[in-house]
Amino acid sequence: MSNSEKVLVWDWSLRVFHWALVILVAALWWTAEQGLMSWHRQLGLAMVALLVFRMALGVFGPKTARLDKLVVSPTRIISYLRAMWTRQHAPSFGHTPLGGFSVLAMLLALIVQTGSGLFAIDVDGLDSGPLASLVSFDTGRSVADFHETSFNVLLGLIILHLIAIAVYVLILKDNILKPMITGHRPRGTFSEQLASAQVRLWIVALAALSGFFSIAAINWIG
Amino acid sequence: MDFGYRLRQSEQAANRPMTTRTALKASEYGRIIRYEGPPGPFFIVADERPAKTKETIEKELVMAKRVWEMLTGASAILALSACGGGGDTTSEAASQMLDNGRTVAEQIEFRQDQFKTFGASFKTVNDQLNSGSPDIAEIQSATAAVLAASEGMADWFPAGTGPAAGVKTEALAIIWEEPGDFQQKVSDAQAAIAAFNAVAQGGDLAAIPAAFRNTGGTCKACHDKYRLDD
Repeated sequence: MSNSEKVLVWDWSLRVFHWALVILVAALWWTAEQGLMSWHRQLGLAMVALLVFRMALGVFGPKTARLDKLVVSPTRIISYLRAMWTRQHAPSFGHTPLGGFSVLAMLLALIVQTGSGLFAIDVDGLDSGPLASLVSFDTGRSVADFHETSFNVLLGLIILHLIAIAVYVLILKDNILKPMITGHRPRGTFSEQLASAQVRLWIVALAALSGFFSIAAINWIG
Repeated sequence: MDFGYRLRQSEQAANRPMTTRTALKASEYGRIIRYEGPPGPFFIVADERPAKTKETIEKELVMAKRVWEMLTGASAILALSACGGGGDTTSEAASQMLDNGRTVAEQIEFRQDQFKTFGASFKTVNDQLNSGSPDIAEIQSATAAVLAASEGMADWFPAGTGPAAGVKTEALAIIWEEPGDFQQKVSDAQAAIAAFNAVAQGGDLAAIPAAFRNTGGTCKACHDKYRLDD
C-alpha cells in the first residue's frame, strides 16, 4: 500500500476558478462597501465571465467539475450525513454528496447576485449596472435593493462553506483544503483517475472564451 | 445504580420505571414538568397530573383568545388617541402641520419624490450618453424635468422633518445643525442643474458629459455629509 501516492482530484482549471472566485467576491464586497461603483461594475462583469467559464466546465469539463455529478438524491445525502455523524467518514473523489449540494447553492446564489447586479441602479441614477438601460428607474431601484439583501444569502452560504471545511479538517481529520490548492490528495482507496490528458486544453480555452464573449454581449446590449 | 432520582408513586404503581426520556410514551411528553435526577438530559420524572381533557384545552384556548383581543384592542385605542383620533398609525411628530400646509410626513414624501425624479432623469441622460446614438431630445426633456423638480429646494428641509420625526428618511440631523453649509450646497446644486439644463438645451452633445459630471458632483457633495449611507 503506497500511502505516499497522490491522485489528481481538482484539475488546474477548476482551481483557477475557485481562487479567482474568492478574490472576486472579496473585491466586489469591498468595492460595494466603499462605494467604488465603477470598479464594482467592472469586477461584476469579470464575475459574469468567470461564472460562464464555470458553467462551461460544468458541462464539458473534467469529471469532478461536472454539474450533473452535483445533483444527488436526498437519500444519499441523508445516509452520508448519518455515516458522518458516527465518524465513519469516507473521503469522496471530488465533491461529497453534501458538498455538491452546497456548491450548487453557492453557484445559484452567485448567478442571482451577479444577474441582479446587471440591472441595478443606484439611488441617484448616476451609477448603474451594464444592462440597467433596459429597465425603468423604479425597477432598477427595486433590483438594487434586492441585490443588496440577497448578498446576505451568499454570505451565509460562504460562512457555512468555511465552517464545513473546518469540520472536515479538524473533526473528521480529512484535509480538504490542501487538494483545492495543489489539486492532489493521497490516493487512499480511490480507484478513480482524473488523468491530465482528460482535461483537454481546448475545452478550457473555449470555456474561457465563452466567458469573454458574454462580457462583450452584455456591453453590446447595454 | 442509584442516580438519586425518585420515581413518583403513581409511576411505581404502574410498574413503569422511567429512567430515560425514551421510556416515556409520546402522550406523556407534555406532562414532564419537573426534573429530579442528576445533571444530564436523560433522567426525567413524569408529572402525576392527569392529562388535559379536550374540554380544558378548549377553555384555555378561548381564554387566550380573549386576552389577545383585549391586548390588541387596547393598543389600537392607544394608537388612535396618540394621533388625535385620525385613525392612521403615524406618530404625533409625523402628522405635525408645517407652515407650507403639508404635514411632516407629507413633506418628507414630497422631497423624496422630487429626488426620485432627479434619479430617474439622470438615468435617462446616462442611458442616452451610453447608447451609440444619443437622442438629444430625450436628454433635453430629462434636464428640464430636473430643473423643474429642483425648484424651491432650499425649503425642502424645514425644521422638524429630520430623523426624529419617526418617518423613514435618510436625511441626517446634521442638516439642521449646520444650516449655513447645507444651504450653500443646495444652492450649488441648483446652479449646477440650471447650467446643465442650459448646456443640454443648447444642443451641444459634446459639452453634456462635463456638465452632467459637474451636477453629479454637487449632488454627491451634499449626500456624503447629509444623507445616511446605504
